Amino acid sequence: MNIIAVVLISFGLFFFFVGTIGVIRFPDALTRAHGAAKCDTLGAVLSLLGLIVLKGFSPSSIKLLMVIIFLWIANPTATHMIARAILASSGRENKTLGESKDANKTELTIEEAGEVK
Amino acid sequence: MTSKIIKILSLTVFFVILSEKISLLNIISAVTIAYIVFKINTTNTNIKKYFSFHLILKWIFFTGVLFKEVVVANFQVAKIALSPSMDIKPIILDYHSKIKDEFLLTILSNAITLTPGTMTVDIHDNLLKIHCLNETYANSLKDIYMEKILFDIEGELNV
Repeated sequence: MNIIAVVLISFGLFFFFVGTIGVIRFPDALTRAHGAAKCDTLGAVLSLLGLIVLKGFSPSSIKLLMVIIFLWIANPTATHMIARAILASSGRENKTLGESKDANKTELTIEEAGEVK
Repeated sequence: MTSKIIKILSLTVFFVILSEKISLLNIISAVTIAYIVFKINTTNTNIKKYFSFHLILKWIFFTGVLFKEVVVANFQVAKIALSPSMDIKPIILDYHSKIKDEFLLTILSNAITLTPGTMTVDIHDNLLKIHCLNETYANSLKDIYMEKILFDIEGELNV
C-alpha cells in the first residue's frame, strides 16, 4: 500500500514540476495557461489519490474525494476565465464571429494568433 | 415539497460527513445550516434531468474517456515543455458545436480545456473560440469523441 501511495504522489509531483517548467518556458501568456491548467489538474488529483491510498477508507478520504471532484470542475473554469481576460486585454480586436453556413457541420476558420504583450 | 426535503437532507448529510461526528448539537446545527443554504440558493437550473437513471452509464463512460484524455494531455505538455526546441505555432479558431444545451456546453468547453493542446477561450451560444498550440491539435478537434457522447446524452434528455 505504501509503495502504491509513493508512486502516485511522485507522479503527481512530477506533473507539478513539468507544469512549472512549462509556465516558465512557454513564450506568451495564453500558452502558459495551457501548462498551468492541465498539469495542475492531474498533479493535484494524483497526489490526493496517493493520500487516500495511504489513509485507507475513512471520513477524511471521502473529504479528499470531494476535493478532487471540486478541483476537476473549478480548474478548467478558472483557466478559461484567465484566458478570456488575457484575450480581452491583449488589444487584438475581437472580430465578429461569422455564421456557419450549415448548422450541422462543424467548420474551422483559422486566424493567426499574434504575440500577446 | 419532497424535492425540498431531499435537498435539505442531502445538504445535512454533506455537513455531517465533513464534521465527522454525530451528536445532537451537531445534527441540529447541520439542519440549520442546510436550511439557510437552501434558502440562499436561488438558482433555477434543474440539474436533476441531466443525471437521471438511464444516462448514468453514459456519464461513467464520459468520465473514463475524459480521464484518459487528461493523462494524454499531461504527457503532451511534458513532451513540449521538456523538449529543447519548442515547435508551437499558437492559433485561435472558431468551433461550431452541435450541442445546444447550456449545461452540456459548459461541460464540453471544460473537457476541451483538459484535452491535449487545446483550450477554450470564449463562448457565444454554441460557438467556441479555441486556442490551439499548433495545427495538428487543431485538426484533431474535427472529431472529438466526447462531443459525440454529450450529443447522445442531449438526444436522450427528453425521452
